[in-house]
Amino acid sequence: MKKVAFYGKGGIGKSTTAANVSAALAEKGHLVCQIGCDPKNDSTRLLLGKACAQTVLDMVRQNGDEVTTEQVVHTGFAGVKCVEAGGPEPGVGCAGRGIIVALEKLKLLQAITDEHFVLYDVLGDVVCGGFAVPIREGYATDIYIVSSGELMSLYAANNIAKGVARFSGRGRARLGGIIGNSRNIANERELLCEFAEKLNTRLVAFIPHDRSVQQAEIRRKTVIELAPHSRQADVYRRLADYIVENTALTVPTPMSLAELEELSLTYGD
Amino acid sequence: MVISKRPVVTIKGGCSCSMPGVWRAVAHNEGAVVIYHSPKACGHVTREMNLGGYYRSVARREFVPRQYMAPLVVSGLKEEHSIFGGAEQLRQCIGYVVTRYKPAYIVIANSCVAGVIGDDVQAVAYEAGQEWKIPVMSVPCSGFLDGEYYAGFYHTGRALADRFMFPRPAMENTVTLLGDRGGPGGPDVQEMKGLLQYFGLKAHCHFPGYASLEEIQRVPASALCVPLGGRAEAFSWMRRLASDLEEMFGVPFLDHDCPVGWQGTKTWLKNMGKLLGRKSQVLLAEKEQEQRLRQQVVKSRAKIRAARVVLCIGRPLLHFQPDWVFELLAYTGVSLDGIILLRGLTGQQRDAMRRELQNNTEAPVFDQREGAAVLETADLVVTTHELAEDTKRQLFLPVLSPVGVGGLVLVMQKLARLAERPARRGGIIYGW
Ligand SMILES: Nc1ncnc2c1ncn2[C@@H]1O[C@H](COP(=O)(O)OP(=O)(O)O)[C@@H](O)[C@H]1O
Ligand SMILES: [Mg+2]
Repeated sequence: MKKVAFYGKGGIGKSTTAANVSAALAEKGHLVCQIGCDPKNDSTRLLLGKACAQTVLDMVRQNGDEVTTEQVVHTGFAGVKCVEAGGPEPGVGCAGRGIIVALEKLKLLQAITDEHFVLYDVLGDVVCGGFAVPIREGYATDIYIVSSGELMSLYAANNIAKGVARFSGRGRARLGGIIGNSRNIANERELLCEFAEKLNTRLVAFIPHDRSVQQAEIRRKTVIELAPHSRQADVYRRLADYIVENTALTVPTPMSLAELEELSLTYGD
Repeated sequence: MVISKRPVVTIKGGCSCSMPGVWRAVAHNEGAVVIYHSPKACGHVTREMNLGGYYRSVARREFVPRQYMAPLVVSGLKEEHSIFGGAEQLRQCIGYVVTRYKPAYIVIANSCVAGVIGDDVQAVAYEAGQEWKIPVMSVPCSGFLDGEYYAGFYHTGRALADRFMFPRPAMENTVTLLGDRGGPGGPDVQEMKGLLQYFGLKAHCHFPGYASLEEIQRVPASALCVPLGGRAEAFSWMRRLASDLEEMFGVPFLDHDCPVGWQGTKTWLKNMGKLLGRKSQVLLAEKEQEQRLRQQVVKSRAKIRAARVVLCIGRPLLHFQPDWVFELLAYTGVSLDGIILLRGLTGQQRDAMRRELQNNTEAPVFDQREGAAVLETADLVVTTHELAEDTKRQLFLPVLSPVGVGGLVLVMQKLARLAERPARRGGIIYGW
């Protein structure tokens, strides 16, 4: 079983990328499970064709210890198992604690056993211990960071790299690479390449910013499903293949803020 | 002999929970109900504390008829609330409290859990106040996360003052006692009232505890506030409350903690005399109090002076300032065989205590292990923590320093009683 996590700044395209990668893997006959670790609950929307109605935490809240695997594991496109951790409304409670409880519950249920791939789609920055849990507790071993060339996205990516570096002594989680998700800024690919290098890793994909993604999104579908023959679909497939094969996992070397700013300045126009 | 120690109070160097402080502040205020916005288990600490207090007052044969006891209700935070927020749980709890107890007002104490997850308790309290048309106050401390016992106590006082007090013309010679010290029925406050009498002062309110709404509203009419702390930490919070009241309502306060020991009592009297411009009363008070002390000293001295006494200290300086103990022992003619610093103290607390002891005594100071030999030969042990050896005669020092000559005398009498017990029977006498 390969245990993968996608991290990155909010809104950068983690869920979209994760769903397309899951779809691409499933297409090839792999057994895949995608677990959304974001109170937004929209990680698996494109795979399920709808918003996930039953999150792990909803079910724990309703049924306590009686929760069953069937209640929290849903089946989506090409048989991908879809799970949403769930979490509180914005501004209340503690979402990080929620992630911990949800992942512990899944483990207890032994809901994911035969899968070839488990893909954790984790909110934003490593904002607190809860969101670091997939890295820290060994739920995921191959960490990918989704980033554009925008400074704030790089900043978040760098912070996540710090998280991975911090826990590298403790578990098996390593950095698999940077997934570039383009925002069409100047010299973006080159910038991301150098950024990845500085972090002691590689730019493993450069996903173009493409209309097909939105077109699929409004139809609640992945590009793989809606436009299987498009170039964009192939980009996701190549990324999926890369993740399958990738063994070049590293302990990242995060940058200082000054270095990061310097880097942005060098490539910016 | 190895000393094993059964600490009755956990030693945690200035780290306590603010919620019991909130509870104590209004526990005997007519019509108050306290809500702990917390897991159920947090209620247990207060329950134990209360039960202990009850037994102590029974042991002292203090019977307080019809003393109001505020219901304490716990909102019962669970794991799900730590994730999804506990505001709704608190709302329901307030609703329950209102219908069940029909309180005059509600005070909400926040737990660490509520603090960590950041429940907007202030907003819930405000809305509930509007909905149920009763005052609902929330105290801005979260368990031991950002507060301690006295912080909870202080902030509750402050919330009551903000909510219920309005400026009123001062009534001559009236005093508000600020603090707890067992309330108006307890020996400490009685002692205090005796001292106030020398100056023609009358305590007309106790605040924040033991006060009806009417009494709370009378506080701004006081001519003077007198803080009742008992140790450095307590005093600093009571002083803060006093200075708030001065700022809000122009009520001056005596900037001195409770009189502790004879020297302390003299200083207290002097300060009070200076503040009021009544020097002659100071002289009279001193004379009478000294006489009272001398009479007792004569009685106790004969019984105690020959005893070999060891002092055991397991509380840090913040909670235990030992000077009054040395004063007391000096009056009884005892010279200490040694002082033993108990194991519960951290290295830092030990060093601080050693420095303090150097200023007070020439008795040798030991760590627990080195002290075993002196302890072996001691007749009487004066201690801040119960020692497991019940073959030793022990005087368990009161947690708060006793007030005035009366307090000193009480402890002295107990020490004398202990000395009269047959040595081989051992046993313990509680100083409170
Ligand atoms: N390569 C892309 N091209 C065009 N739009 C994209 C691309 N990747 C993501 N998006 C869009 O960006 C928005 C945020 O993506 P999402 O995957 O929800 O981000 P995240 O999960 O990181 O918060 C979505 O509207 C998505 O359709
Ligand atoms: Mg997402």
